[in-house]
Amino acid sequence: MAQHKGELNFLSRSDGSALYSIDDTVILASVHGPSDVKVSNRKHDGLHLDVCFSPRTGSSNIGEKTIEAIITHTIKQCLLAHLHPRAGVTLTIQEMQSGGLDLSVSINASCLALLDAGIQMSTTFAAVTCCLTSDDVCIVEPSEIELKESKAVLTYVFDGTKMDVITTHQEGAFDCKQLLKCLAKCKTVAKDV
Amino acid sequence: MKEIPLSLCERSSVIENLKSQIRLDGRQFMETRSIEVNFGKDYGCCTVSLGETRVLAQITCEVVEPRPSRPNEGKISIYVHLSPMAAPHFEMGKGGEIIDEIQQILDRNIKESRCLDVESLCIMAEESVWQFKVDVTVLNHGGNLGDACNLAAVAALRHFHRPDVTVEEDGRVTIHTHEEKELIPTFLKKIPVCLTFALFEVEDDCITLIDPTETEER
Repeated sequence: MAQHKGELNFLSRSDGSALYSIDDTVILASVHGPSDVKVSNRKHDGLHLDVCFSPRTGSSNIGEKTIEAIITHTIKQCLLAHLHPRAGVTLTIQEMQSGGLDLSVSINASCLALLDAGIQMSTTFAAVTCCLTSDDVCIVEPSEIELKESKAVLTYVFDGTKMDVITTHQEGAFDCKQLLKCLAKCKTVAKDV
Repeated sequence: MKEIPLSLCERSSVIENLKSQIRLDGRQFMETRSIEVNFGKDYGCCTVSLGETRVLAQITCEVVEPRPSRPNEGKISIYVHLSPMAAPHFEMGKGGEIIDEIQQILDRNIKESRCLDVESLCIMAEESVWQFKVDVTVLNHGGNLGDACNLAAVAALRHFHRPDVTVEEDGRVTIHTHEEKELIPTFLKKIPVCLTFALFEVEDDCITLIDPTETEER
């Protein structure tokens, strides 16, 4: 398995922050909240979650918005939103170094940052990325070169208590059997994460 | 989120302590915080920690057409981003005065001081030049953003290596990858160093501090 490293409470002004890295991909996640939110975003029965992913070069495009949407979807399922009505949580993710595994590192960093901030969650979650090479070999946590040469990249997010799949994200062409094979492999790795 | 205002007791405690020659973090009046500079795996990526203030700078380059008024000079463009993680009242994309201030400081220090020779960025006069894009992102606002951003931008510029370029006889420009040819480091003639002072007016006396923290700034 690749080298995983994490550091909590990296930033002083944030309520919770985490610096997470898998090999060459380094991502910093920071959480502010629960605190007041604009009237337009206020929800009477729960927490409003705002996710912002910023790449190193500054301009935010569709790729970044996709990552934001996936992370929002994942966190909404794990956060106990009803405990903080009319409040908002802002999660900011900054790409420090890119090694290709941005999505899974962001998700892992977000989980640690939320824990550091002390926001109530029903479960923790872990993300694992794997890629399928042209000879149908499934490599978990590939390096940048392996990612470029692969024909499909799959990311799975598992919850911490029941090891169920919360979110999946796939790019590339593959069939059902390969999907299940990768899923099984990722599950075993996620237990370590 | 709104900015949490500085309470009256915090304000008066800072000023009272300054009258007794004490700074809240125990430093001398003319003592700066410790500086840590970390470089990333890619060339041109640098993170600077000035006490609690953290800033990330990234340099990228591309070949563009030069300005018609200056056909043999390259371009440097500097962008400052305030990440929402830096302070709760910052919002992505919205700047305000702080961004303008920092952008002005960086523009003056790097572009107008001509520390980077823009003529060396020229590939073919009137046709193609290098454009260096400097992206500075503030990760944590612990005071003295000007110094930290300046340090990050300059360190990243010195760390950055640009791809080698060959001009063919028929005028085509080939950019070589780093596997084909060695990358060329950036040459800085002078290194701009920025120092920030905070001036307090206390009972007809003017107290000067170097490298103010966020509370002292307010």
